[in-house]
Amino acid sequence: MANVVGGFLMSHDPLVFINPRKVDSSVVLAAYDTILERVRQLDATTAVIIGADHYILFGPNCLPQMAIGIGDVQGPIDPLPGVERGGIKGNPSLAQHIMRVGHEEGFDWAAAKSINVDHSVGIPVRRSLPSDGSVATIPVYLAAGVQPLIRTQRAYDLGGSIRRAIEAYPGDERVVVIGSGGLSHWVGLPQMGRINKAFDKLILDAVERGEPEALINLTDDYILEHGGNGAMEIRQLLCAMGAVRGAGKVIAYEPWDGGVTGLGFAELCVAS
Amino acid sequence: MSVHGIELALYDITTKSSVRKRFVAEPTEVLERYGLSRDEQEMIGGMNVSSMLDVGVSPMLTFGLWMCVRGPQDLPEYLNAISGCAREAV
Repeated sequence: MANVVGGFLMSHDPLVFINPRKVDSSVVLAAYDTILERVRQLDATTAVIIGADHYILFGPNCLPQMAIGIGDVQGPIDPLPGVERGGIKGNPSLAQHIMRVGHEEGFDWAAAKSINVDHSVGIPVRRSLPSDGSVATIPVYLAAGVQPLIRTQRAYDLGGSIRRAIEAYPGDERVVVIGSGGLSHWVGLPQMGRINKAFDKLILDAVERGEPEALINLTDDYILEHGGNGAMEIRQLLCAMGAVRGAGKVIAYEPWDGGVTGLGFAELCVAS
Repeated sequence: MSVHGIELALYDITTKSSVRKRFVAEPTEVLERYGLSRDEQEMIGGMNVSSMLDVGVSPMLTFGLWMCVRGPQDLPEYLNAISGCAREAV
């Protein structure tokens, strides 16, 4: 039987790699490396990476609430210094199984038979998975950047479906689930550059206590006011929390002034 | 047209390099394909990101447009351009 053996939460601010202000980013990059080392220690074989579209993959003609890459994977489509691009080893068999189980449970996955992921999945792949391809990637996208957004409860519940699917999979896969999303940040809005440390602490404290309800119950209006439109990505964190279920431990938090995002990194303990 | 038409044009400009190159060279020719009003075309062609936000265009696209056409080093100019905007929505 396949198992979820670990979980992680991480930010994916492209400015960490573009670094236009030339600010020391070593603490942030070290956090990605810490997760890479933990993925190796967990002997993971596949990573389900939950990212957020930024109006890069999906356009006004079709905006899925939830999408999963069930075939060919490559990326990231958006070039970033120090982030390798190209083919990414996928796991179509497990991905299709997760999709089928979801469909049976009432989660209407959109399927991407070929996907060129953006930085929200590409950065975790290139920075926190082994470069030798020993850990396959299953990309998942939840609507968090472009309206209509997936509801927070739905994102959390979807994580539970992913978990059930993995545990029903007839293989020996050791799966880590990565929620890739920012803390406070205002993308493209006049407040861009503001980082709300109090809001970020509220999120990370809930992660450490293993209390998804504290995040699910935040209204979008509250998140917009205190965390910005980018903080809608708590949906990505919630989905991973729904799959892993345990309390978390913060690896690093940096209100990095070289970028525009509160950068948080955490490991989630697997609960039965 | 509508805010959706503006978003479609911006999505194509920001994600399709051939459209983007053509937009930089001949913005009017590109924007005429989207059924946009003259005001909407001028808003996009003039990179008036503040007005785009005011009419409800996704900030992902206004920011993406600026980054694609001007480059990440022009982030301060983008922030200056939208400084008077009251928009807070997604």
